[in-house]
Amino acid sequence: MAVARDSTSSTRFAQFKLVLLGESAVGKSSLVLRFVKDQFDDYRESTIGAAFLTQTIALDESTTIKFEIWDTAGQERYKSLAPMYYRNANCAVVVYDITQAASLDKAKSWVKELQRQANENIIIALAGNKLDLDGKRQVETAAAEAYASESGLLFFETSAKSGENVTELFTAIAKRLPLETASSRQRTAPKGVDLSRPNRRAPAASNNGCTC
Amino acid sequence: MQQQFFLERNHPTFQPGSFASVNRPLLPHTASAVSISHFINNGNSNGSANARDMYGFRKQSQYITASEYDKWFASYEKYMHRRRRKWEALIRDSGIEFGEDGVPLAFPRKSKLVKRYVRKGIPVDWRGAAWFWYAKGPEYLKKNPGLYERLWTRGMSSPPVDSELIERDLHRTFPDNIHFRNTDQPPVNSGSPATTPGSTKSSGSNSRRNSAAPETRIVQSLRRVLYAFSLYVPKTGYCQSLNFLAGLLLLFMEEEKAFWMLVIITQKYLPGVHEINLEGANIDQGVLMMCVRESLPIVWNKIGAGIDGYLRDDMVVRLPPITLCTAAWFMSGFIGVLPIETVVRVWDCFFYEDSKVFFRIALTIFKLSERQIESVRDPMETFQIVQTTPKQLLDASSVIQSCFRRHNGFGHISQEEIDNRRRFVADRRRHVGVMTSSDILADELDSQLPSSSLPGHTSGRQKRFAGIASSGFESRKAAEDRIQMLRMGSMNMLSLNARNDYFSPPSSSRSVSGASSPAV
Ligand SMILES: Nc1nc2c(ncn2[C@@H]2O[C@H](COP(=O)(O)OP(=O)(O)OP(=O)(O)O)[C@@H](O)[C@H]2O)c(=O)[nH]1
Ligand SMILES: [Mg+2]
Repeated sequence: MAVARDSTSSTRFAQFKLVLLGESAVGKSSLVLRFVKDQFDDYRESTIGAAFLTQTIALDESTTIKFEIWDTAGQERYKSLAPMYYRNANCAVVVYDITQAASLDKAKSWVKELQRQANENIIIALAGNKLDLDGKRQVETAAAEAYASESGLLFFETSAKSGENVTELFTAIAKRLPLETASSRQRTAPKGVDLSRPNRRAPAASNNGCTC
Repeated sequence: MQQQFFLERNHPTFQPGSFASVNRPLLPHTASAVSISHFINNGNSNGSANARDMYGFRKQSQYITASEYDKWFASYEKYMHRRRRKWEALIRDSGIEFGEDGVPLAFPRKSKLVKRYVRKGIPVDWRGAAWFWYAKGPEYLKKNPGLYERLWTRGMSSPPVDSELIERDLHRTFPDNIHFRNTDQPPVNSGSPATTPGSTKSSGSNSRRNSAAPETRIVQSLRRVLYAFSLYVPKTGYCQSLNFLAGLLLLFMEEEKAFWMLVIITQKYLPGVHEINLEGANIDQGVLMMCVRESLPIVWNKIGAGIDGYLRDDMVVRLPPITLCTAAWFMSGFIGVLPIETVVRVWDCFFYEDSKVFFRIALTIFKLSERQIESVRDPMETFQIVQTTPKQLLDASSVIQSCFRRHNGFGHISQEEIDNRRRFVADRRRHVGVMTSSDILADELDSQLPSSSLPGHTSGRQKRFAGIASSGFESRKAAEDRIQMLRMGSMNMLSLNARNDYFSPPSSSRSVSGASSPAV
């Protein structure tokens, strides 16, 4: 993560790393495509390895946030690569498919792994996707919501297809991110210090001063 | 065959079932260049967003417009004709007969000349036969008569464990190719949540629900090939990306041959790459990173740093994040990475010359991105460049040329070299594996200890650096000591060079000099 403040005006620019996790075919790539390009495709190719995308949003008149997004492949065997994505992520969206009960179990195991292995300040959002297929729902909203709140996660039901709640999801994450911390990565990187690393792993006092 | 092909492409009410045999390849077998050009030009109206190339893919992509495609293809087509005439002469001079479908019954023995011909492109309608020939497919087929059919029959009656994953991906394989999804038929109930009846499993795939259009013949072949493969090679089973490999093969050859090619690719050309732990993929990425460091120091300076910002010598164990992109290049044979004509030209060389071709193509992509990579400040932008550059490489011939150009810096990477490095990396990863797992332990420990309670608290990796430098630090907890011991034990296996490199800042040139490169 990097936050830079334009000294002449009061505009802020921050960069955050976000990772999408969840079982294959729950709609991770579709959610990103909706968020980044406002498009949807009934026929998406499955993701091999991972895809990297960026999207910049204006949080308010004075704050611009750039998400650097890793869209990962959902198949189980790619799981061993996951630490590479989430270790330095500031936020994660864990996706399940509301029409597939088993996909929520998978999502829960991702949440557990993130809570154990990732940055302790990582913001995790749980997204129940394919909300447009409400008629085929297998996961009740209340149950998922209860799980999310007891685990301290943001929670949204989304539809990449209709676009419902997609922007809301990413905006909610942006609002939770610690804007007042750290400094520009560009300035510090050449010295070999990476402030984009998770707080817990960074040298003491680097970015613990969250004021939000 | 050719007639049917036109029917399929141009007839508005084409039904996949209209093909009598499931065992014919989709591309027509024609005897002369004239009819090839006929079939090419018979594509859809030029310039439209839905215009198809000769393989049935959309000409247009996010990175290439249909008119750019047409402009390139106008001259490429002439080139293809020229090459085809040369090939015909070569086959005749080699005393090889043509089958009635116009495809040579065999291919010339390997030689400098033939290698050059292959690099310049195999005629499109001979391609499948040539791939199969040079990959030694006929031997596999001869040794295992009837096996493929037995396998898929078994798979259909009792689906393999991976069948659900396969089903989920069948309709996510080349949805933009007319042979995989016939878009001439508007989806009947798109948007309605009705389930397609008769699906073997109710998978999570939504595409199934939306695909009211009947499954195309090639999708059915793809199912059989993937089912049969996962039964035949259980230690790989089904790995996402095999669908693309098999899918492209099916455009060029009958399904039994496509099945054997999949076996050959995963066992001979890319061993272990698709296996459950993906270790083969990790090994190849380690080899690739060694090659980048050696041949493209400017690129290495940008991509070689780990997430901690340090360039490191243990990159074959702790792969840099860029390998998250490049691993997929190998797994899917550059499908979806390079434009399709470039992919098939790469595959021409790959089946003839073996896996070194993939490494050299990967290096070529880095080389072609070098300027841009050098100019970015934000390391994250590098990912974007590395991801988008290959998608624009429409001019297949010039990609191949820059790959095999003399003095491009990686001409020395022979297959023997690749195989040696694969062994070296595999070994090293095995030895250091204990360190990797102890690191994970250390990280877990990190998360259990509140950082405020440890004044000098440092990360797992920093502790390791410290450990190397000062042979340890104050014991805090028994568990931590145990981890440290593990770590020190495994550290001894790393070379001195590696130690030095742990402390190299990203801009250091030392880590790219030959002196610290692992001896191979
Ligand atoms: N109806 C509906 N379908 C969706 C939605 N989101 C995704 N899909 C469909 O679900 C299928 C899988 O979507 P992807 O975005 O490829 O899934 P993924 O999670 O990226 O899958 P992997 O790349 O294999 O991990 C595609 O056919 C999409 O069209 C949604 O909100 N509603
Ligand atoms: Mg995906």
